[in-house]
Amino acid sequence: MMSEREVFITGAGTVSALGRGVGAAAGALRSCRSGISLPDVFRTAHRELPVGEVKIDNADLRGLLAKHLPVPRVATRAALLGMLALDEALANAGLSPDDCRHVVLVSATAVGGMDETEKYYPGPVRHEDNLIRFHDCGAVTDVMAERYGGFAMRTTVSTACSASLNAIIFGCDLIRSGRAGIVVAGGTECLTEYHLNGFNSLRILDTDRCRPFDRSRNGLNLGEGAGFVVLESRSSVLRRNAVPVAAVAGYANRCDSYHQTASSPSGEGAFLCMKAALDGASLSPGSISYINAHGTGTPNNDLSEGRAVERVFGSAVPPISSTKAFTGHTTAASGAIESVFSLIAMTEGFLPVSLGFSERMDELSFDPVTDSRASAPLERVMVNAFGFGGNDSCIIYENL
Amino acid sequence: MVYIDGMAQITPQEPFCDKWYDSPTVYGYGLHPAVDPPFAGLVPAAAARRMCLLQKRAVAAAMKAMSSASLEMPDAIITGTGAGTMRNSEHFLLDMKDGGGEVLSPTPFINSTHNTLAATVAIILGCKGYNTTYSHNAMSFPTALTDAVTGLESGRFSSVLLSAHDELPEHYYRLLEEAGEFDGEPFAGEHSLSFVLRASRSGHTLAAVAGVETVSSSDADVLREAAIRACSGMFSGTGMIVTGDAASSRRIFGEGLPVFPYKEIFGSGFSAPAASLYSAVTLLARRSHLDGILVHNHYKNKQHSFIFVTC
Repeated sequence: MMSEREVFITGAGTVSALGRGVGAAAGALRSCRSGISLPDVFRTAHRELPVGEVKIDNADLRGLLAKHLPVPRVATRAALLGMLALDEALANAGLSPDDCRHVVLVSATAVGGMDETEKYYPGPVRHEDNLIRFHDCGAVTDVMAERYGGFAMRTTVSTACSASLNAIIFGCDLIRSGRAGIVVAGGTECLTEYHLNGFNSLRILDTDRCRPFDRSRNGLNLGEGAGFVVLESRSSVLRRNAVPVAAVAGYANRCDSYHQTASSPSGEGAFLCMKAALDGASLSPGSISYINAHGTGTPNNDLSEGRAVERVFGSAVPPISSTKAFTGHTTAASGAIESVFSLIAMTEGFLPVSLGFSERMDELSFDPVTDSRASAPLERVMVNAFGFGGNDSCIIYENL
Repeated sequence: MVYIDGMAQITPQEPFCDKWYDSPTVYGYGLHPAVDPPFAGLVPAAAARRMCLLQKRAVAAAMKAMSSASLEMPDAIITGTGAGTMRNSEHFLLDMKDGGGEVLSPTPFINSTHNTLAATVAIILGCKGYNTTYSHNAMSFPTALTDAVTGLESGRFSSVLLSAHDELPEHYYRLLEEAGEFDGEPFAGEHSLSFVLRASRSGHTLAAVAGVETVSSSDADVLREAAIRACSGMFSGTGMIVTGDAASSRRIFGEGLPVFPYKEIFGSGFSAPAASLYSAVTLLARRSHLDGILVHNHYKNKQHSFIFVTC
């Protein structure tokens, strides 16, 4: 029995520090097994900083991908990770590479091909090492898209840590406006020296595993990975006899308009986007069964987000957790990866635990989830993603 | 159908005016940076001191477009940028390479995320509405336009500040040039443009965007169909094609329509397509016999975009 919603989820795929695939993610989430470790595959001078890396090097990623479809001669790490997640999402939705002629791809990334660029900038020794045409965000998406024949159209969102949630939002708008029947939307990110050094220079990295919403939280851990969901219109679902796992109930993006990196003390942008998502879905706060918070573990974000949550939900804050102590902060890919995690939780009926929590923050009235058992079926889950530049996004998924 | 009520350009031509139409500067192959306007009066002085050049261009173009449209606050800010604030990325990369280690300044990093430009404008305006940035080479602006059109036509927004920005710092340009990125292009330029779009016609309206389509194909039949979709059945009303590649347009549409190869004036670059829309709106105003213009762009023949602009 399908609801009155207009956009449905018919497939999902992911890869992260929790491993390859939705099944691996589900297993790790259920058993509270974090994927964060000191860097091993990722070659960095900063060996003391915990990261959520995908424990597969590029050569092995190629090997895995080649079993399904040929891999482009040049593909940077974000493209390789993205293709793994795309393969799973498309297969999950019952879409063949040939079907992709009628599918739109909306991806997201912040680092693009920077993992290669930073190796040879400002100039490679040999001409053939000049991979600058694979540096920009669009190049990563184009490499992925060409493996499936190019898709009907493909594009890329780049709004820092809210990017892949914004990609899903744009996908929903494309479907609701009639411009597309099927959109695969999400994002991909890989670890780079560039942003590891960047976040380190901001002094917001923790040298221990992050502890979102904990009184002693001290910063975030960076992560990498990819996540994609297949969004589909009602008529396409019916025509293909597809089996949706969830519906998109509502979504919103707002701008905090306060500071380039810090969030406003009252969490204004976060408050506005959560409220607008609820209003757009014609839902009351009480109808949310679980919130997957942005919850990076930085002093600033968790306070700002916590306050915004209390402004929206009052004294009735639903179960809320951050899964970033499982995967690290996967930046542009986080909204999509955490959407996939939330969809898993909703359809399997458990709550992802907020690992690392032990003591409530002085300023807040709630504890995040510490027990994964859900007391009731999860009807609707809310996923938050907030990016630099005060770019705040929220999506609400509904169980079917 | 959406309406362009204001626009502003900072490109290798004289900024904020249409001297490019009457007496353009002629450029040969190579890198030709944008010609900057005086920023005083458009960019608040205190904030300007902390901004990089592209941020100043973004604010200046936004303010100019909004003022000519009499818009105080847009409902949404939608931006395209192929490579973002690349000077900041270069700066941070070179600092890292120089062995900055523990003492790296975070400022260039903070301002190197691609949505920095959109965020800067939002902070200056105090705009809390929908704010997103697309980064997909020469399709960045066409995607941003598609999002703007969708939002306006659905009634979610009554006004949108739509922009595109790209810059070419020294090393990035040299690497791109050596890799063949600008082969076949007249020259490489920098582009910062803003448009104010509204959902309904006003006294400020310069032109209307009747349709936009972006498609992954190089097949002439598929592309022609996409162009016809963009024109929503009004293709016969097309008087001219503003194009980034005259040979490509002729391959698809034949020799019958006059073409305006805008890159010969504005140069090539990820955000050059914004200048193609700017050109089309100006041409409609200046050439009274034209009722409709098809704007055609492509990126390395991987994806093509069509915009249909009418009076």
